[in-house]
Amino acid sequence: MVTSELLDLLNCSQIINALSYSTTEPWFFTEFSFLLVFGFFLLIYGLVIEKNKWKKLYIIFFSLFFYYKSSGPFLGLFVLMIACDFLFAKLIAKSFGFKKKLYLFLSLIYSLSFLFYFKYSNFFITNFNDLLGTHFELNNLFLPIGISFYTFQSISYLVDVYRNEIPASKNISDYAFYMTFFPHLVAGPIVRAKDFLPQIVSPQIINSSLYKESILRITLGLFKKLFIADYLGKYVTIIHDTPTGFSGFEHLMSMYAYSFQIYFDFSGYSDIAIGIALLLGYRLKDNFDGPYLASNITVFWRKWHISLSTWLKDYIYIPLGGSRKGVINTYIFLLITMLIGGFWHGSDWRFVFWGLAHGLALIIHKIWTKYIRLNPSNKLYSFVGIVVTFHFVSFCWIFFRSSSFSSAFDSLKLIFTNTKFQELYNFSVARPEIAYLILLSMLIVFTPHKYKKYIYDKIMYLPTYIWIFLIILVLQLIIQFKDNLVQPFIYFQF
Amino acid sequence: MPKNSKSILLLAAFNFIIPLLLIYSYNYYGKPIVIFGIELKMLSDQSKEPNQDKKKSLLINKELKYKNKVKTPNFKDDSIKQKNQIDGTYSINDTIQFERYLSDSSSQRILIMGDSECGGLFHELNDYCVQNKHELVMSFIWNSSTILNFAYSDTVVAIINKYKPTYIFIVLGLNEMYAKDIKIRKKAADVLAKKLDGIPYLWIGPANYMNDYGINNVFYSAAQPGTFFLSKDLNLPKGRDNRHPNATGYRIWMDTIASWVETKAKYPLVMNVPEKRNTRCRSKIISLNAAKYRGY
Repeated sequence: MVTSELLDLLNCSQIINALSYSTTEPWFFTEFSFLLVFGFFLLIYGLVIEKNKWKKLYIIFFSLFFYYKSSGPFLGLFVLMIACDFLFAKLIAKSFGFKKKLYLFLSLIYSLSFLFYFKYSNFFITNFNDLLGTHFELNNLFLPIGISFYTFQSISYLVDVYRNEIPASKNISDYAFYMTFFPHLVAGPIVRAKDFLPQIVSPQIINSSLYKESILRITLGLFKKLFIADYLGKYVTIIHDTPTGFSGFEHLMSMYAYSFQIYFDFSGYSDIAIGIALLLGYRLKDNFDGPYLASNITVFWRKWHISLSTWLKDYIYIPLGGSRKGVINTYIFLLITMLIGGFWHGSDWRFVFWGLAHGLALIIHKIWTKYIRLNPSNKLYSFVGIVVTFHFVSFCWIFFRSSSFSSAFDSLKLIFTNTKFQELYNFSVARPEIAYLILLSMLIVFTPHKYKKYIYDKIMYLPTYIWIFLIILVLQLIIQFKDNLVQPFIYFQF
Repeated sequence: MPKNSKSILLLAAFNFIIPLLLIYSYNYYGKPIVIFGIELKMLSDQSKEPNQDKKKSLLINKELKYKNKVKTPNFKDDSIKQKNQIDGTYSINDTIQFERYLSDSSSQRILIMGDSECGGLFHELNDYCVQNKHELVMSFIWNSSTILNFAYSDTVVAIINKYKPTYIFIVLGLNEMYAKDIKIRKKAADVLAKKLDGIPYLWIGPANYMNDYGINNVFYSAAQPGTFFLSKDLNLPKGRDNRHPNATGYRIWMDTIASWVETKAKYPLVMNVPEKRNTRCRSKIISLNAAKYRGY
């Protein structure tokens, strides 16, 4: 019996299947098979860590394999993009004046063309058909995973070379390493070349505190994504599948659940990505800094998806003119930036609307702070600010999650006209798991940073064998509660 | 704690390898372990979609299962099961496992439709709706009808579009217990199931007092797992015609259905037992006869 199972294990076709791309089982960080392979990857990494050249090649090879396992044939497109960007950057660095601008222009058109084709072509065809009554056929396209992220990374590299902020990479392996580095490859954080390229030459030395920090972040990320976000997601899906079939109170709970789901989903992913990178000796910048504790919308955008918001600021808002061209223009630039940010998230008017709502909120906040000055250290002011900002952001998430404008408005209408708070008891009886998870999420999200740090420090001093036990506990907890269909990372679709 | 990078990486590698190998080994071991009364689930209990391509990972070599092990109604013994399998094509597999949705506390818009047995059942369902704050939006009783009427007319879709129910009860099968054209019935049942797709429903088999020729099996195979309620083995008091249940029978039947819906159905509903019975039914009721009305 055991022998036959061993023979099954050694079956070549199974090994080939395991190494091949599967449309039904693409590789995410949350796949247990990935985590096991990553463990073995680390074993070999330990052997090459002191030889920088081999280490680099080993990571590039594994990163390309990882991308193949998650996106299959699009690997070719990705490699082509890297090669062309590398050459364009060299041309930009060598040229001056008009030529330099031309090369930058061409390289940006080239990089963006893939994104526009795969992500936005159907959107434009649909709108074109609707407007002019034409009948152009939609393309049957599959969005390459992570294209929005690595396109933005490539743009940042090309623009930084153009601005002479960084030299063009001399070695294609350095640039390939930066682009393909698997922790940030498919869903960010969007890493800047100027932050990352220097680390390739001199990565951090892996010591015990780095090891503890990374393992803790990976474990925490798995817990956030697989335990909290996925379970909440299951509930949110039920409500949004048939929005008119549920009461206003259920929609309100679903709104809160989704606010926590999207946060834990994406911040969990970022934690895993940052933890994995750290374990390899590379530090990626934090992507979240307690965003739901923001007391106004401007602060929220400094704390939410930091790598995207700073990218939009540095490569769209400031080049447009920033706050240098008068008050009205500042507002217009802000609105344009947020509209692009919304459109980046998805090729649907709902995302544009979401960007518009946030843009308008930022403008209103700017006007508010201009005329009304409140003491930011006032606790009442902060509390009201946090409540208002959280609710504004949560209401906007409804447009993010709903399948259409009409179902988003249905949901909002039900919340405002059909919410009876006496349903709270029924809700907690009928859906105790969701009620507890929403409470747990609130506790995690709204606990001040200093208390979190205190708990974090306590865990850091636990002995190593307890760490292994903790990991087993978290993984088994995930298995006990895991959804039938694991929700892919919400941000994979962008 | 090791000091150099190599040793730390080795330790980190084992942080992943040991827990995952344990989890995979447990998966291979196959026998459930219970700790403090809690059964530890296995990795292979986490299913993928029912019909998806079963490409297996290197170490998972077990058949995919559905997560929540909720069984559909059991046959009491195998002989009954065999008697029902007239053509042997469609059978009720009482061990199939499926995903259950979370119990729904919100008010639902309920539509009940079916043959003459629906005419007795909707009064009892109305009591449950009143008790649990659901709204019975429509009772559609199509006397003498069969699956063919429901599948091949536009009536069902028209009613759904008009009343926009969020939950549907279908009671069918009494008029086709002895139908032998099982394949034709199966095709029709699939058509009806497709029409209901997207709306949570419960398909209730006939409360028959004689063994059927396989219609229960047909309905079971057409309905989504966890949405078919097998009524045939219930011991319900008969009505005067010896064919339908009497008033008490309908009450027992509905109580059993309600308990099953709440605890075992794929789409659970809050169905607390009514404190008041025989409440006035305010829903729209349409009663037709299949001999006169074949559906549009």
